[in-house]
Amino acid sequence: MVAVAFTLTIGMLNFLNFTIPALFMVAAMITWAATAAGLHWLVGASIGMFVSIIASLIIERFTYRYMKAKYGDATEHALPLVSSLGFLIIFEHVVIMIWGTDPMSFDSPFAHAQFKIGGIIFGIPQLISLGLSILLVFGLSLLLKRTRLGRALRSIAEKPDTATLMGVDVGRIVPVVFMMTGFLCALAGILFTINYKNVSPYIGDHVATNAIAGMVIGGLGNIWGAIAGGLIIGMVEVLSIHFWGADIIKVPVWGLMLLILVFRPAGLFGHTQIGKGKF
Amino acid sequence: MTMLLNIEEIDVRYGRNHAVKDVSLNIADGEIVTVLGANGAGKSSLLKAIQGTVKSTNGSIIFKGENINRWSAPKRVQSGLVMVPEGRQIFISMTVEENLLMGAYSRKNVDVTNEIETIFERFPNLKERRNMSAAVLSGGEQQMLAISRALLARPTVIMLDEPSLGLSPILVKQLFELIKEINSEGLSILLVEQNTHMALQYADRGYVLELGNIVASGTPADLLADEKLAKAYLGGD
Ligand SMILES: Nc1ncnc2c1ncn2[C@@H]1O[C@H](COP(=O)(O)OP(=O)(O)O)[C@@H](O)[C@H]1O
Ligand SMILES: [Mg+2]
Repeated sequence: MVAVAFTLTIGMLNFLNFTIPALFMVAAMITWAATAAGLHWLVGASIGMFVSIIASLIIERFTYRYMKAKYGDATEHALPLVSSLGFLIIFEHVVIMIWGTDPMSFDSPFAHAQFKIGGIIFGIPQLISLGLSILLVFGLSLLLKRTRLGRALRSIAEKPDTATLMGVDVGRIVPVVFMMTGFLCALAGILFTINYKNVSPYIGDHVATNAIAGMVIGGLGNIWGAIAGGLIIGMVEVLSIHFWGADIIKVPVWGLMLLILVFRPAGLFGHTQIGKGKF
Repeated sequence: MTMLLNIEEIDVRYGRNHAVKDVSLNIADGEIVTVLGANGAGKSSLLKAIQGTVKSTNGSIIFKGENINRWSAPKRVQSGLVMVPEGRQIFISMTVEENLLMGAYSRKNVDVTNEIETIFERFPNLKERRNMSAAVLSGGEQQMLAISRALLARPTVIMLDEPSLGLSPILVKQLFELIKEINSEGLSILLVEQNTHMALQYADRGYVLELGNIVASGTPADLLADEKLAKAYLGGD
């Protein structure tokens, strides 16, 4: 799901948004903190979601839009990338200041819901996450394919200048992408919290590397590819933990990514090259 | 004569590059007006300034009696000022039909099914490929799609930026016939061209742009009669 969020901003805006893992982490931490403070976990999750979406909009204001107004086409510059990296670091440190660096444990409402198939343990929450992701992606692809907003988003992704000529107000639609980003990150963060029962200010980094790998494997800027990439990464992780143990799970994941970069630079399902030719 | 579109002394600058200098131009209701000029003369910049996708620094743009200088490009589209950009710029990640739907984007919540069917009747080639990626279209078909897409915005003025570029002579002829046809249906047309021959054959009036300046204007006969112009800008033949 984080891969989808990455893909959304990179595909739509040609902007590798490094605040995504930060949003993910913030939503997870808030869900944990609110629940630890005695609120119902759903309330905690809602607050996390809300904060993440608002934060994403603020980020849009200060990275993408600000740079765009100042330097013309923001996508031409590394600046938004750097400034979003700045946001990532700021968020991490704010969270560290508030809650410290220790991993916190989260009492999952579904802690004991699990079953086994062929020796591999599946938690109910994991299955729910998977189901939810698939549902969400299905909804998202329907939105992109069938609705006026979806077409507007795709037109901006392909040719922002021409989209403007169709009467699409790019400045008003870009925040929508950031809101969706915030929503996806938060949802992912919340599901992560419930699944792993354990959060720390650094979870964003771990997830970001996987998400980027998933995105590259699936093909940059292609949300269906990102889902598939994310699922492939997930499978590779689960299977390699099962067969080789947890210590080396980065090796098969990144090995796969490198292999794909060598043989299919555009990704398994990609059709465009990075940056070039897309706009 | 009341003018539908009145451009008064506008300038376009890209940093220190002064691309459009003090240009004035007007279009009456129902006219075909052409802007001619060599590569880099500032033709596209002029159209973009009228559309509002680049800023004009001076002067005013009056459309249907209103000063639209401060309007955003999407607002100008909504009010009936629509451009077909250079190189057609169809959305290749979309189907032919989705491209047409994008054309009607500015008309919120209007059912354009019938209008799209009318367009498909006019261009059977597009109909055949309605659910295919627009990338499979030939250059001529892409131009038809780009113009149809613009028509779906229900423009009063349609601005065409070098529509004949890259088309074979037969297709160029068809294209100009189409332009005349939509003009006779009531649309006013601002046509930027390098194919001066054809443009002057179909236009009511023309302007010649050189390095950002208007160096001549008048009826096609006037422009063709000016020997110096004919030699320098109009291909001389
Ligand atoms: N986006 C831009 N940035 C800087 N200079 C530009 C830009 N677009 C056009 N120009 C310059 O403005 C001048 C006019 O270009 P243009 O309007 O495209 O001319 P034409 O359409 O007549 O070929 C040229 O010198 C061109 O290099
Ligand atoms: Mg041009």
